[in-house]
Amino acid sequence: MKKFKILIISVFALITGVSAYGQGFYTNLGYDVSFPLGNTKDFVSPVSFRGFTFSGGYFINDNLAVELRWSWHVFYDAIPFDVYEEGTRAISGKQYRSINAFPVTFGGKYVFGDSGFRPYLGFGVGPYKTRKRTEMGIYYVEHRNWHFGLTPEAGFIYNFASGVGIMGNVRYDYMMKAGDVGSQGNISLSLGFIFSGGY
Amino acid sequence: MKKVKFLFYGIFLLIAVIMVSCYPGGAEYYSDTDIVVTDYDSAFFATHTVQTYYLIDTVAYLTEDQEDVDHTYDELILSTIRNNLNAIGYQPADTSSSTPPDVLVTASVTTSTSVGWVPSYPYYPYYPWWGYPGWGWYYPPYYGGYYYSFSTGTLFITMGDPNDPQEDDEGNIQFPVVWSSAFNGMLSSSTQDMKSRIERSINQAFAQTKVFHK
Repeated sequence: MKKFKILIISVFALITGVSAYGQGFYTNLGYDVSFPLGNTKDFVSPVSFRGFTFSGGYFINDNLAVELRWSWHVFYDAIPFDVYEEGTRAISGKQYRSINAFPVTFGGKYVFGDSGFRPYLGFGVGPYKTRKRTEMGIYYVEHRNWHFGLTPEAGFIYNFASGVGIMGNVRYDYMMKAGDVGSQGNISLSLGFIFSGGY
Repeated sequence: MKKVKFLFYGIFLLIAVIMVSCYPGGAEYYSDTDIVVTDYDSAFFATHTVQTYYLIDTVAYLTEDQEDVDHTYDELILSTIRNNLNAIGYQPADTSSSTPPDVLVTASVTTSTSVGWVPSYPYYPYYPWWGYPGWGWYYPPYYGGYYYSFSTGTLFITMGDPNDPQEDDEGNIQFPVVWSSAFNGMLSSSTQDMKSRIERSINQAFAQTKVFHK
């Protein structure tokens, strides 16, 4: 956890440091609400209100940007008392299930228009780290995997001051099967700020 | 630009704090940690019709220090097991008879960490009608190893077949386990809470064993 915090802070410091000096660089920080789909929904059905996305990118020209994005989405569900059977064995109790997903994607955005409200379409691919955990009693089973995943997205950027704007998007994260964990997916609504060196 | 960076750091920190503080909590009450695991030998129940049982009237504590054992729940454990055995149609064995019961039932408790399954119980008294001194349990290989490390309070209920004695490598007589149950949870200091959890969990152990309800 400590290493993880150091990593976040260093990446953040690096990107914000760069964005202050370089023309065309930008950083984005958004709050994410994620809706689980498919296998993810079968395991944890509630909507996740614990999530955020941090991204940094560079505008190659007025409309096209390349971007590195990192998110953290926490899906959680408390399952009431139930009996789970397997052959002659049975285990009963409450379950606490969670999936922590950490997508790291590299991709691009095409941003329409040149000022004010600018819609965009984007796409990214990359590794997704997941921690899928089932707690029962004082015990737990956890699967940690790296999935290959992809993420199409659609959103908007609205600059309300020089170098500062609002960015909102809808993103679909699809993670392919990895290890014992099947494909995972979710749709996230993200809203946050975008800071740029001017574009 | 400086202000913007400051704002950015501020938001980032705020989100980080929210993420950590809202992190899912899991179990809230002691009873949320209660689990009941059961398993049975389907071959035994397919070939035997159990009519009589003998419940050993002492709860065994699997600990070296027998003097510090808290016997508060012994009577409740034994009476709840007895009620459940009667409820599934098993009859208490006639102790004056020379015929062994169909099944032998024992209760044992461990509150120490990582004891897990103990394959033989040296604490049980000798019951004369079987004539097997130094008997214990053995687990048939197909029975499967399910319970390895229990770290808080665990109540084991074990049902064995006294009519199928086996000799181990050291010449001790052991009986095969045909049903077993383990109730595990965090111990609380409230006697009332513990009592209701023990009772509920023993009832649950019998309820979730399909072969008892056929």
